[in-house]
Amino acid sequence: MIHAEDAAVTYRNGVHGITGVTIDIDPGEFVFIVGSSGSGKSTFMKTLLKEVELSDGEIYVGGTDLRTIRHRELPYFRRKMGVVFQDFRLLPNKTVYENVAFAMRVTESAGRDIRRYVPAVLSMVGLAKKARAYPHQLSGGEQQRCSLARAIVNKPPLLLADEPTGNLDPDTAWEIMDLLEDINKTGTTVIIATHAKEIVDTMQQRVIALKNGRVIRDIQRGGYYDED
Amino acid sequence: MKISSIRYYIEEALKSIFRNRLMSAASMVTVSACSLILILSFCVAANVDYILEQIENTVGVSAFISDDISTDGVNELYNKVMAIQYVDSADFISAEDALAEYKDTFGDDENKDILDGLENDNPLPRSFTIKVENNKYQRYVILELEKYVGNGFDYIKHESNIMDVLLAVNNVVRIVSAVLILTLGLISVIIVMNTIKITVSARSMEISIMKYVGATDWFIRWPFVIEGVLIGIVGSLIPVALCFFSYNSVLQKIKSSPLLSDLAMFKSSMELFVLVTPIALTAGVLIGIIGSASSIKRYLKV
Repeated sequence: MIHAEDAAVTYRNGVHGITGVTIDIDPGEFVFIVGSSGSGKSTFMKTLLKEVELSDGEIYVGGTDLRTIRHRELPYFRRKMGVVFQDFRLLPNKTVYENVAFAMRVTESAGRDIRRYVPAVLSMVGLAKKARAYPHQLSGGEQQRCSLARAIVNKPPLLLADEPTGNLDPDTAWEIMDLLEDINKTGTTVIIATHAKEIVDTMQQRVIALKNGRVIRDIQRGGYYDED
Repeated sequence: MKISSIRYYIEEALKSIFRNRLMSAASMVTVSACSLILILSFCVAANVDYILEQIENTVGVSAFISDDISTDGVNELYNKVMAIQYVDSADFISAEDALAEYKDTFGDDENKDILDGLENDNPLPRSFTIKVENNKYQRYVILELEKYVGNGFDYIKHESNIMDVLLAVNNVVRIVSAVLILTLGLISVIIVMNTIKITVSARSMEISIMKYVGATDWFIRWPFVIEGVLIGIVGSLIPVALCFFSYNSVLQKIKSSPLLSDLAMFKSSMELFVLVTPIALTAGVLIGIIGSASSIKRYLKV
């Protein structure tokens, strides 16, 4: 699903976002990207989204070479991935239903499909009863579920979540992680950037640790820190 | 583009106009102001043109033929006149025609007896009434004709001074209105740009989300472009309607006053607005499109 080799991002101000990152992620994997603030987690996620440009090395996402993709091809590339953010990024003047339907409308899906898939996805994330509510009427957990529903409604093969539990209390955070695990079980590759140590330690999934923009550890199953 | 998408674009544009009604109204008023000046200057220029055309048709150059020229000589003179560049036509007015016309103009009952006596000994000279292809060549034609004074013609009569003044007035009107229209057009574009910039920046999060879920640039752009177009259409149609009705009522007033209606003929409101409405509409729509397209550009780079 993802193949990165010696990938490097240097920002215009000279700051190195990531350096020499070499990672392979297979389809259907569940991966945590961990590290403290400034470790390069977010830069790596943004690079996958093609929000920041690679300055060196190469990254392939779903077979697409990020170095050669053109601006006008970008929308079609991004339709192959769902994105979840720490701050939910829901549209405040649209209802839960409209927020999710919006992702389908943007990709010019048929109205019939929108009416069929949106309720299904909302009930999957447990928001069927809140379809007509506005984001400000929801709790943090509910808002994140709504943004998860929006991320998966187009059935992307890849889901990127940047600190998805960063703004949530521990119980709610677990609900979201369970949902992400469920989504992963349907075959979606899930990549989560986080510094929620407890969650990473408990779930025992693949962990890629970054420090100063470099990969310092990549283990198939493990916790936030090295056991030793 | 799908029908459902088009509906979505229009709905979004209308929602946005309503949500930012104050700024939308401000943009419409600016477009209206620009459109108003455009229409007014167009009305003035079109009427000055129209009046000039009428005067053109009545003001010709008269060349009076010397009495000693024979009929053959008149024919020869006619060929000479027609050979002058820019001469459109030369109508021969015989002494009898001239007298008939004179009687028509001044032959009321009082003068009838005096004029009746003239038929036997007609003092009026023969002449050519010469029309020039375009008024700006009139001076040249007159100079050419004057070469034959004493050599076929007695004298040349013309009213080129009036034409000169009218042409100058028309030029001034054209230049002033062009400058006004360009300046106001630019101001309108800037204000519409700012209005849409405000709605765009208020929706910058929405735009970034749209980019993340894979919206194409045009999918994002269309609602804003339609918003600009709608502002442009409404903004330019208001002054069209306003000017149409006020022009009509002014025209009615002029027509009902005998003093003014004798002065000049004005273009009918229908004739004028069939031309000016599409011009104003196009200008409004262009201002809307330029304003919206340029203000959204920056936000699409994500």
